[in-house]
Amino acid sequence: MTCDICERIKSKKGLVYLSEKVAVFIPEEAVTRGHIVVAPIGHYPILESVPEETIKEMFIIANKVGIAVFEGLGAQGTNFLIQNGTAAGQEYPHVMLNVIPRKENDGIDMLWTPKQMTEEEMSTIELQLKEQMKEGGEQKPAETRESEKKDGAKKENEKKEDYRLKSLIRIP
Amino acid sequence: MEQLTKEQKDQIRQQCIFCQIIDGKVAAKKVYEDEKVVALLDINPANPGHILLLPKDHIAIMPQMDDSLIGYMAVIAKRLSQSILRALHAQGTTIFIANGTAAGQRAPHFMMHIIPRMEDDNIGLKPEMKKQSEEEIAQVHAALFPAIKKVLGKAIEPATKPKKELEIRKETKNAGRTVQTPGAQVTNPKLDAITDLLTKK
Repeated sequence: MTCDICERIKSKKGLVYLSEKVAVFIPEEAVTRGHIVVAPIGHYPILESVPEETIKEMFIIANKVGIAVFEGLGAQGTNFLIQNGTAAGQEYPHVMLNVIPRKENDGIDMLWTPKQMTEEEMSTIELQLKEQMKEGGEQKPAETRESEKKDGAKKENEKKEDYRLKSLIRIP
Repeated sequence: MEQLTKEQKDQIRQQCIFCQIIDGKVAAKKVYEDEKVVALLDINPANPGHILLLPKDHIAIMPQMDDSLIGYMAVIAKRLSQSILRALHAQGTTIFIANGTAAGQRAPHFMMHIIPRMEDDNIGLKPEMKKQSEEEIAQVHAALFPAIKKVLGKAIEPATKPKKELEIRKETKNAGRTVQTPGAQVTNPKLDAITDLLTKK
C-alpha cells in the first residue's frame, strides 16, 4: 500500500526543504495561505512510532519554518498542530507537524470550550499520568530497544502496540 | 534580544502566573517535572487530561527558544502523548502550540498543549482545509523560498514560477489587537510585546 505523504515527498511537489530525516512541503489542502507541513521522511503512522531524534529535528525545523513564515508571508502568529490519530482529525497514516500562519481576525477557530472538572477528577488524572510518566511514558528500557533491532521481535512489539494503531486502521 | 538585569527577570517571573507555578508559589497539578521543563494539568481543559508542557525559564514564544530546548520539549511531549494514550485510554492526541495573540496565545509563557482525544468528542481543533491550486502553491513557494533559505541555510527552489506574486497584506501595527474567537476575548497588554516580537523584522 502506498502512502500519499511518502509519494508527495518523493514527487518533490511543493517541496521547500529536505534533510536526511525531515521533509518540508506546501500541502495540497491548507488551513491558511502559507500553511506548511513538516513530516518525517520515513513512513511513521503515529507520533509514538517516530524515533526521538526525528521528533527533535521536526520541531527544530518547524520552529525555523515558523520564523520564515513571519518574514516571508507577513504572518502575525503561528499555530503548530499535530493530529495524532483519527480521533484527533488525522487524515493520512503519516505523522505531520502543521505550521499554520495566522493573522488577527482571520476567522480561523482553533480554540476550545473549557470543560469543568472537579478537584477530585483532576487529582485522579494527575496520579494516573504521573505514574505512567514514571513507567511507560519514559524512554523504553535498553533491553527492549535491543530486541527491537531484531526483526522478529520488532513484529511482536508492533502487535503489542496495535491498540494505539487501531484507530488508524479505519483510514481508507 | 537585549539582556535583562536580574531584577528585571525577577519582576517578569513575579508577574507570570506560570513562572509562579514553576517556582512553587502557586499550586498546580504537576504530572511531570525535571530540571528544564514542567508538565501540568490545564485547569480549563479541552478534554480531561489536557496537559500543558512549559519550559522552566520564562520564554514568551517558540522563536526565542534554542534548538536543544525545543528538541527536548518535543521528546517530552511525545512521552506525555504516549502516557495519555496508555493511562487515560484516549484514542488520539492533539499537540497544539499558539505563538502570538493572532494565533490564540493567552499567556506570555510559551507552552505546548497535549490534549487527549476521543472519536466524536467535538472539541474543535480540526480546522477546515481548503484545496490549493498549483498556482497558489507556487505563489507560497516563491514567497517563502528566500526566507526558508535564510533560516535553514538551504531551500529547494520552486519548479515553476507563479504567474502572479503572492499578495502579502500588511496590516497597520495596531489593527485589532483583540482576538475574536468564540469563547475568548483577549486584550492583554503584556501580549502586545509578543506580537511585536513576532512581527518585527
